[in-house]
Amino acid sequence: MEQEFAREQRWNYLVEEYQTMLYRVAFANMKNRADAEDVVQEAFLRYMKDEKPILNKEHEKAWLIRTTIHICMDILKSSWHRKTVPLEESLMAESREVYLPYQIRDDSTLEAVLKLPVHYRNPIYLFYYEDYSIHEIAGVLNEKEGTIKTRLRRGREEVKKMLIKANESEML
Amino acid sequence: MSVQEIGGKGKRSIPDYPNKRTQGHTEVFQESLMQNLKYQGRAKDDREKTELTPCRGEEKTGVGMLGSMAGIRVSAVTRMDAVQAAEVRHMNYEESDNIEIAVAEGYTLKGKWEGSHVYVEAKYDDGRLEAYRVDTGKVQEQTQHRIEQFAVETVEKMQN
Repeated sequence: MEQEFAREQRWNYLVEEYQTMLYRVAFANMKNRADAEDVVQEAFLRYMKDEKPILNKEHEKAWLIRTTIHICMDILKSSWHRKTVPLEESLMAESREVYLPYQIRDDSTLEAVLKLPVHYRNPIYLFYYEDYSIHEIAGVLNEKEGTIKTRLRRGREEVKKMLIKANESEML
Repeated sequence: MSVQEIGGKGKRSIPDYPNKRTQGHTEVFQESLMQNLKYQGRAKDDREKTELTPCRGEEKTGVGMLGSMAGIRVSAVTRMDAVQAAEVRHMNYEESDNIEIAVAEGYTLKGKWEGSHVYVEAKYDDGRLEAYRVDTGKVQEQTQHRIEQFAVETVEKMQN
């Protein structure tokens, strides 16, 4: 009984503390609300089952983000998911609904970020929209800081190209 | 025709190049070189005066690096008045009154209005983290300085 109560308390804490942030990370990868919600549920379940000691809150947060991204990658690589065709319009509409704890001035940049290849998308998303440092992102994604810097720079160039292209097509 | 004659003909056929260095040219060049060296020395001295040393790791609290990013280049005269270096506090988005996310330019800005001034934290995608204290009362109306503009926007946002 006591164990169940502790478990419930732990679950509530996780939901309250990380649900919104993990949902945003999952959405950046899955690009639709339903899949993002499923991914976050799965990440919490894995966390509850995991018996490895969690050192501190930062470690806990990094573990959850890493697991969330891994689950996303597993789903995206699955044969079923690869057969489905994403709807561009639904991405545009839903990306505006992603809850961010602050106002963003420019939706088109976020949309461009969500369209980036995964190795650029996650570092860029965590750096700009979740305000992670390069050191923290390197820890979460298990990469060297130099690799993250390179991906940030190259991803930024890709975003710039996409925005210029979008501007040009708007002017035509 | 002797060999000497052939050689002499060839020598005469070399044209006189218009930019060929003459005695006068050399003196002018030396003079301008000296002037350039003098100015470069002065510019270096100015940089040393304004640039501060990093606090820890890659964190910088210095206006010396301010103009290095694209889109936030400004004149040194303006920046010295209103913008001062500050200690980096690692303020998060939730604590900030104003945020600018400039993915294409490679930086984020976070601002907090603190009554007499605005605290601004800038994070760049090369890992630099810088903080400034902006006295918005001293900011010129038509400023092109991005940090100053952002600080003014922060105050306006909080007053509206």
